[in-house]
Amino acid sequence: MKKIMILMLLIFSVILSACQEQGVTVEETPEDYMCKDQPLSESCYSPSDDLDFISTDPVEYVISELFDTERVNQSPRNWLLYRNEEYAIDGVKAIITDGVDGNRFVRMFSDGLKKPPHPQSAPTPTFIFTTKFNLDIDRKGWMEGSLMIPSDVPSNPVTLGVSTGAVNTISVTIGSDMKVSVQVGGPFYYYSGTGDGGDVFSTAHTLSQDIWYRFRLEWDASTNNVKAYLYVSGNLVQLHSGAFHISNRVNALMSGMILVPNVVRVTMPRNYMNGWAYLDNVVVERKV
Amino acid sequence: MKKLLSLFMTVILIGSIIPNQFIKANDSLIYLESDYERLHAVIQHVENVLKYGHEYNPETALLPDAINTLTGEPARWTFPNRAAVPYSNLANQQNFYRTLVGLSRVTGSEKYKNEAMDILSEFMTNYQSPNGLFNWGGHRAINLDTLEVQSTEGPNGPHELKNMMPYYELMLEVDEERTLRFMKQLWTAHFYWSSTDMNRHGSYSTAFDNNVFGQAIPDHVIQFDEDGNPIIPADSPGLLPFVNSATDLAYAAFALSNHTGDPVPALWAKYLMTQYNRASHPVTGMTVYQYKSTLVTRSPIECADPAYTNSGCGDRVARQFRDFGSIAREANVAWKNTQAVYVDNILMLLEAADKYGVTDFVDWARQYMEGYLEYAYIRVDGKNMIVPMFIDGTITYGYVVPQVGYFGPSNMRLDYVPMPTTYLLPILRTILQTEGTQNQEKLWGYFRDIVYTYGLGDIGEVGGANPKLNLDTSIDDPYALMAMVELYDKTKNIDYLNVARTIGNNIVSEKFHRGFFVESEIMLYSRLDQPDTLALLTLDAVVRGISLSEMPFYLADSGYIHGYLLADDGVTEDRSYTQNVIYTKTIYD
Repeated sequence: MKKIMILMLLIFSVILSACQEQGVTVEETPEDYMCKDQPLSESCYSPSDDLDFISTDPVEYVISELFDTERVNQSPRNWLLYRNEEYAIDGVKAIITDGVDGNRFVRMFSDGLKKPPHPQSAPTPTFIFTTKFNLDIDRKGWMEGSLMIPSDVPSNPVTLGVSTGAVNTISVTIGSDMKVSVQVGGPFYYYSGTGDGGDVFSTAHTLSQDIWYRFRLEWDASTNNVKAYLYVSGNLVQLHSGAFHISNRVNALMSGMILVPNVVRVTMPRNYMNGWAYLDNVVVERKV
Repeated sequence: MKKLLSLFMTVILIGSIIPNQFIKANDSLIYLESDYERLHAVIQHVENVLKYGHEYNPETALLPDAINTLTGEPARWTFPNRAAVPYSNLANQQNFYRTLVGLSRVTGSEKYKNEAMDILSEFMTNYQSPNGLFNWGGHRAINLDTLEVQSTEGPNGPHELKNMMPYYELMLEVDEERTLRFMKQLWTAHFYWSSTDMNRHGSYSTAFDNNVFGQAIPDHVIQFDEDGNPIIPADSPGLLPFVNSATDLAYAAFALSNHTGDPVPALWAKYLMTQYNRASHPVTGMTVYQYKSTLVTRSPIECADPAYTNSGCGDRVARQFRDFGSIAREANVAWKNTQAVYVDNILMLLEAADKYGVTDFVDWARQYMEGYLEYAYIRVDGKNMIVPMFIDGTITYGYVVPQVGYFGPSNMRLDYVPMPTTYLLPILRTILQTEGTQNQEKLWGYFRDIVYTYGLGDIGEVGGANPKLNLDTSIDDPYALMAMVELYDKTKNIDYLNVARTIGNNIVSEKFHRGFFVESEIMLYSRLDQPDTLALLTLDAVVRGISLSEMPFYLADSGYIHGYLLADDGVTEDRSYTQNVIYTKTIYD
């Protein structure tokens, strides 16, 4: 048996060595791929196609938020209500409500307890309710919106304005004493380090609860002018007219290009008080 | 006997019929078509970065940090007032310059290295502050619209480098004088000689000091109590001596000493890194993120609000994790900033050991890595994870944080933290630089487990014997690729190279889209600092027979910009990082 095995082993070895020799004669010598030493030559390297062009021009759009087609007890669809992990579940609310005349509006609630983490050291509000528009080509426009402070529930001071991103352009505030003030620019803590809170202008107007008041804000970058109005008996009464604040300029320099607003913003302060305010009929339009 | 014969026959048969397709007669590797396909992708990426990067503003050679792969436009930092600034931050582009030099090395064309030198030359000539600091880093960049310096903090944003480890070899070649001036001023601006404090923020107003290293090296900051435990002083007035900034200071000082022949800067570098070593835990070996705690400088009224996380209110971990007692300090956290402590820091220590002869650093690296892996590494559900803990081994897993603070919101439950593949290189390089097999065994065991869990198969025994690697792995990770290339380079075991080729092919098929390397097909931006192209070039070099020592070396991928910006909903202000806000955008955003 041993002899047979040894014999077979010898035969296999001979066959295998023959096969190997034959393999050497037919197998191609392994070679490097032709582009190894000329990786940038035209025969090897082909540039990629150009990227498909996608326009970076802004797409303008305006808004008309009457809320009449929104669902009752829901949040309005086009609006964003800020909250973070620290907010109580019902710490802030913005819900559609049917008025007695069938008109729907937004009831806004804030517990006034929490706020966004930034900017720190700034009077950042608890309630931040926003929607967007774009008039970046026109660089001018107007916004109108109606506010009411109710008397049958605890109320809160409320601010309605237009912002460039997170920075106020111009806004009107109905204070806890029902007095109206106008703020231009700020908060502006991200850049100056000066605690610049914008410019606040008080007015002679003291409003009443349970009445809708309609405000109008205008901006025009070509004339460097912002304006605020209050409708009184159907007529526009000017509250303020002045220049854009520095916080609406690139690099916060007087020579910086004016950045026009793109956000409608409603806020209620972090004042550790529960309170309501109502919003209706927000419109942004081109300025002729 | 029969069995023996059969075995003998089998061996002969297998040896006879399997040709080695990848090795030439002279033992050099065959360069395959697939090898060139990977290189081709790298060339296309580089050419597109240069094309679109230069196209945006022809007035400058500077490139943006990242390119929008749909439009070819630069990535933009959007400030809270929605000013959108295309930014060029050369501290965040170092892997691209390494890629350019590596590409010149493997293609034999100097044009790519020349590009790198042109860009660096313009930057160093025009954007070095009078005091020597460059306008780059965590809070400053160049606005590609105006070519002015742009701060993302106040108008005078500070200098900050955190594990960016610039490509000093090339910078010295481009402009020796300006590079040396920067290396010195980095210490003048960030190190406080009188108090031995170190600040990750450096001022552009600090005057240049040519004799920066002229003082005598002081006594160690970290002393020990009677039980041999390190005493971490709580006397730093908000300066926060983070290890990721110390790493950059030390790296600059070592490079300075190496270039000038003056040993003093290297002594200071070693002194600085020694404080972190002395502060490491005497039992576990785990090391710290900072060697001092902060002094309370703010008023109790300000600090009563836990959401106010200014470091002037004292140690932020002590405030938020006070249930854990005295171990709860920012220095001792081993579940956050671990990339800085156990990856970038280790890679710098090993680089210093390898290039500048600081051999102690290999022992320190081994101590840190062994301690960390022994206590904190765990496999959960087939994944490599980290158990959250303090460096003394006190586990915080499952803890529900009672109040908001610097480390996150209230009610946050601390869970296992995924271990990223970036850990592969520091573990492997520590092993490869450690003398003696017996000293390598412990780390090799962890490395073997970790690699296996990542799906790469079994790397075999210490030294690379008998690997059973997964040659068909689906991993597309640059760190895994570099690890396999470095293992091959050390052992010459072809199996490691074959896995590296598979990983390299995966990287190209999964990450090369629209002419750029991106994190995945849907990601919008291609970052210049991404490590994929450099990893692919190291593989290409090894296949060509080019020594890794002749190639630019991977050290970090930590570039970022930090500051105030418009948050993702576009209506609120936030303070965040490019990595969290910009590089997370997809092509659908």
